Amino acid sequence: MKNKVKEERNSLNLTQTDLAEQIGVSRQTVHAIESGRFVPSTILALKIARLFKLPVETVFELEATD
Amino acid sequence: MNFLSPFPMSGYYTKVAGMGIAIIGLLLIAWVQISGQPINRIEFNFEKQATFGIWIFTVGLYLMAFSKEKVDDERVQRIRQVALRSSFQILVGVFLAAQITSLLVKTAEIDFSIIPVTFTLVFYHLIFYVALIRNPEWAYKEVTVTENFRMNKKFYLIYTLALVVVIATIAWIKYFNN
Repeated sequence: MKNKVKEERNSLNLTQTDLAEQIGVSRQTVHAIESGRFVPSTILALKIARLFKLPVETVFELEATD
Repeated sequence: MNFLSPFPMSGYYTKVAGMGIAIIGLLLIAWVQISGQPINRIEFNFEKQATFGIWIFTVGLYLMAFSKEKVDDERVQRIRQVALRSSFQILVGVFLAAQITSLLVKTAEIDFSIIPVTFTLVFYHLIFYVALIRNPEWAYKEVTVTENFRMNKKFYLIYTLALVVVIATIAWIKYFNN
C-alpha cells in the first residue's frame, strides 16, 4: 500500500511527533507508516485522513500487489 | 456486565517495576557467581541462591512482557504478538529437540520435563480456537488490569468473596478436621 502521509504532514508543517500526538500513537509508528512498513488500521487511517482534511483514499492507495 | 477480559495486561508502571526486579535478579546472580558466597541474610529453600536470582530475574521479565508500553498503539501490539509467537516457537522447538535427544541418545540424559511446554501448547490451542469460534470481544481489545477492574467491580467483588469462601472451606476441612 502506498501513502502520502509524509507529503501531507510536511504541507501542514507538522513533525512526526506532532502528528503522532494528534492521532494517539508513538513517533515510531508514524515513521513506520510513512516508510510503508506498517499498514495502519481503518480507525487510524481515518484519523490521519481527518487530520489532513482529505478523503482516506487520497492519503492511502492500494497497489496492484495488494 | 460490561466487557470483561479474562487476560488483562498490566500497566506501564508494572513494566518499570518489572525492569527493576529483573535488574535486582541479575545483580543477585552476579553477586553469587563473582563472590562465590551466598547472601547469608537471605534464607530460602533454594539449593543455590543463584537459582533464586534467576527466579527473581524471570519474575521481572514476566512483569515486563505482559505490561503495556508507554504508548501502546496498534503497531506495538502487532510487534508484541510476533515477538511472543516467535519466542514461544523457539522454546517449544528447543524443548522438543532436547527431549527427543534425551530419549534416543543414552549418554545425553537431560533432566527436565516437557510437560510445562505441553500444557502451554494446550492452553494456546484452547484460547486460540475458543476465540476463533466464539469471536469474543476480549480477543480484539487489550485492557489493563486496572481498566478491567474499573469496568467490572461487581464481578471482582463476587469473585473475591467466592474465592475467600472456597479457600476458607478447604482450610477448615484440611486443618481443623484433622
